[in-house]
Amino acid sequence: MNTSGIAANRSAAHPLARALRPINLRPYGLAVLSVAVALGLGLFLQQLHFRDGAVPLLLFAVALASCFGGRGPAVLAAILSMGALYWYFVEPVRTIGIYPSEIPYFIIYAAFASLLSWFGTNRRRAEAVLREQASLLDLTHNTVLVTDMEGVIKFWNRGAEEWYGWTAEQAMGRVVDDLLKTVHPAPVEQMKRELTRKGRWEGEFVHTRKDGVRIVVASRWSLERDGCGDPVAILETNNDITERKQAEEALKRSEAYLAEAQRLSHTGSWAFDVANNAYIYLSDECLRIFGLDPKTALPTREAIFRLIHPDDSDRVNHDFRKSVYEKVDTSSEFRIALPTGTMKHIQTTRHPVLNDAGEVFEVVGTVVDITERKRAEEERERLRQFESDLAHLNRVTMMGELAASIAHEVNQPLSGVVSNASAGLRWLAGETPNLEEAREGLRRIVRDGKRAGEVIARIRALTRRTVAATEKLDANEIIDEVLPLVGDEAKKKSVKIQTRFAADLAPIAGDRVQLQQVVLNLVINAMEAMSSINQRERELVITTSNMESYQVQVTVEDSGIGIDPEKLEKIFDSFYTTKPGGMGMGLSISRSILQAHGGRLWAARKDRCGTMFHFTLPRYKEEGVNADAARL
Amino acid sequence: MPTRRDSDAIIAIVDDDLSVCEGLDTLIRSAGWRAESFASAQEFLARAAAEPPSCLILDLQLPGLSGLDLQKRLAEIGLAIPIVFLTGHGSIPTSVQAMKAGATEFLTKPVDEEDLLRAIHEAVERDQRFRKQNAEMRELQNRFESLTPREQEIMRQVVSGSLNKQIATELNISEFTVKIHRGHVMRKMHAGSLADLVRMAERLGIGARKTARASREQGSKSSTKVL
Repeated sequence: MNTSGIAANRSAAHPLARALRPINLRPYGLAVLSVAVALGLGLFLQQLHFRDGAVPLLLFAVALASCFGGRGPAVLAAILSMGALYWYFVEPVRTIGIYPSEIPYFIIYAAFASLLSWFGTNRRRAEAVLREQASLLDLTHNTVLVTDMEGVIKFWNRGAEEWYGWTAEQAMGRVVDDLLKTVHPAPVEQMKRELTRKGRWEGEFVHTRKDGVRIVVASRWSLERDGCGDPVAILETNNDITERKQAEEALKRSEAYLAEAQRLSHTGSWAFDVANNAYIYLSDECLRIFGLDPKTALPTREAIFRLIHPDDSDRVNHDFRKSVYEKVDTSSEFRIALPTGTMKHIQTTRHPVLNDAGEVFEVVGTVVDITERKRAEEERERLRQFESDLAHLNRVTMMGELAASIAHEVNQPLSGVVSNASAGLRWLAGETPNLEEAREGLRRIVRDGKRAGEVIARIRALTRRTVAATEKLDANEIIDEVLPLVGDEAKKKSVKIQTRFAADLAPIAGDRVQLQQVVLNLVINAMEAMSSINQRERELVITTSNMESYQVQVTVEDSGIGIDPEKLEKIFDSFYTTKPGGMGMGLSISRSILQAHGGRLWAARKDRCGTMFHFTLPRYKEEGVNADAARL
Repeated sequence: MPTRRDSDAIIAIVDDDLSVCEGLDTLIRSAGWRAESFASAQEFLARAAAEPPSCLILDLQLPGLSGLDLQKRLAEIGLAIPIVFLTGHGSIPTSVQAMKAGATEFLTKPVDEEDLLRAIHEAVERDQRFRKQNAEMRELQNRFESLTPREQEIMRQVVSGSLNKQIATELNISEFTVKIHRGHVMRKMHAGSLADLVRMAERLGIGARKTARASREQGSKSSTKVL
């Protein structure tokens, strides 16, 4: 491109430049001087009896004049040298007449002289052209340099000076590959062969600038040939493509990262041309998800939609149309059945792209293979169900452990009922029935009957298999409701249960049954831990308090044997138990219940003796009320 | 069935459960006794010494001092109150232990009206028998203590079968003096005959041989009760 530009310039500028140039006398002077010097030398050689030395000398003068002066001086030098030859050297010397013997001699000389001047002039013109080209080449910002066939720099334009850092004076005469520490992409010989064959070569090099910075250049070479068609010089134009190269590489890298990210996240992307009703882009991962070969042509819309499970396809179509016609983002989950028989769960998200007129012309989107996630969700659900079963089992087991205590709790009011009823019959039996006593007895029967009923209801609630429900709860109340179930057990084990409740305890959010289960677990454990203590009081203290950070804390502490510090965490493991016949699930279940509530459960040693179990629960948030109200 | 005579008897109830206490209280009152309720053993002990009840209805599982503990304490301080034990879930070892320690009855809650009232009735009767025996004994002891040392000595000799002459020789006094002392003894002891005096001496434990037999009889009586 550059070379053709220069060629065009040459044809336009050459005649104009010549017409405007004033006549320069210096070349003519040079012609006269060179002939004069040749003549002087010739005469001197003649004195030394070397008569024929003058001819080559004079021819040399002609050549010199033609080389440096051009056609005019060359003709002048030729005429002068012929005159000098005729006068001084051709026999008979210093005569005017022309003898036939002299004619061939002159013809040969004239031919030689004109040949030489023709060569010289040609050469000179070529150089002038080159210089002109060079001055033009200085105007371009590209780096342009000319080397001979050995790579020696003959020309170095301003662009090259600016870009590489060496001035023309510093660069000229150096071998280009040494100066620029060229790193060739291909063997040099191969390049040269191609250059010679085609006259041009294109490629990329790595060059090192004067300041040591390595740059990538796109290089175009063209071969300059002399009149005979022999290569004489190489014109090299170089463009710095380092930035482009870096951008290309960055793009390539980012594309690679994107492809990797898509592969890792099982996310594919696609673009759909609405007007042509066809996909215009499907990422490799997208194709892989649909079980298609990335190397083949883009599949049609039908080919993609055929894979969708028949039960889901109407819904997917509807969502797709919604994106196109309502210009909104949509998302659908569906299943695809691959020809291999595998079923995948896919989630796709669509975004309509609008043109300037506000019409949808493209829909872009993603597809995510959520098969694994679905499977994990199912697994989690199963696990949750299992945990719930286990929790239920744990509650039932606890109730079994407490059976005697619970029976007692029911028996006490029942005992009251029987006594009051028997007494009532007696009060009414006499001749003057004591109605007041009988009435009082009936009132107590009602009260005691209800009390027994409440205990039974509490047990039923705890042993029922319920779905966890979040409600606003009072932790104090939860503890109070549980304690009657263990009252007799505590009495039998001589355990004194104390409660230190915060009067202004903040409400909490949670499932009543599950939280009662946790309290019951901790209380039973605490009583168990104290069963071997005889030298001090068996004290079980339950404390509730409001914590900072919107938490409510419940602490159950005993004066039992305590737990080794290194086992304080281990006790929360499943199947870890210190009780003979214990399942080792109680604390593990309690902890998972609290975690599900957004709370924590941990154990700590008491300073003197015994263990403290703390658990925290987040306070009830008022937004919850609205949410619940909305749900209800 | 309670009679008008034992309507003054106080029946104490010790149970930490209000429902149980109130139920028993009204039942006992409806049967004609007086009832007093206590929520703990300590509360009862603070009250018992002043006016001992005729019967104690005692819950086996009490907070603090248990029912069996209270039974032991009462024996230690010499308060022989008939005890009817109540329990929610009586085990054989505890009931055996309670009965060995002299419990009148051992009943499980909810208690049968008839069983309870009969047990209380028996306890009250036993208590009254006990109290009567105690009163007679105390009277005899008072009489014996009103005797002078010489009269007591002569009474010991008389009930052991010695003749007046033998006593006079033994004590180195005249036979007449013995007769006068003997007359004082008979009058002061309110004894109508020698046989009366011997029975009294026996109850007071005077005369080594006979006392040993009496205590043996009592021992076999109580073990029969347990079995």
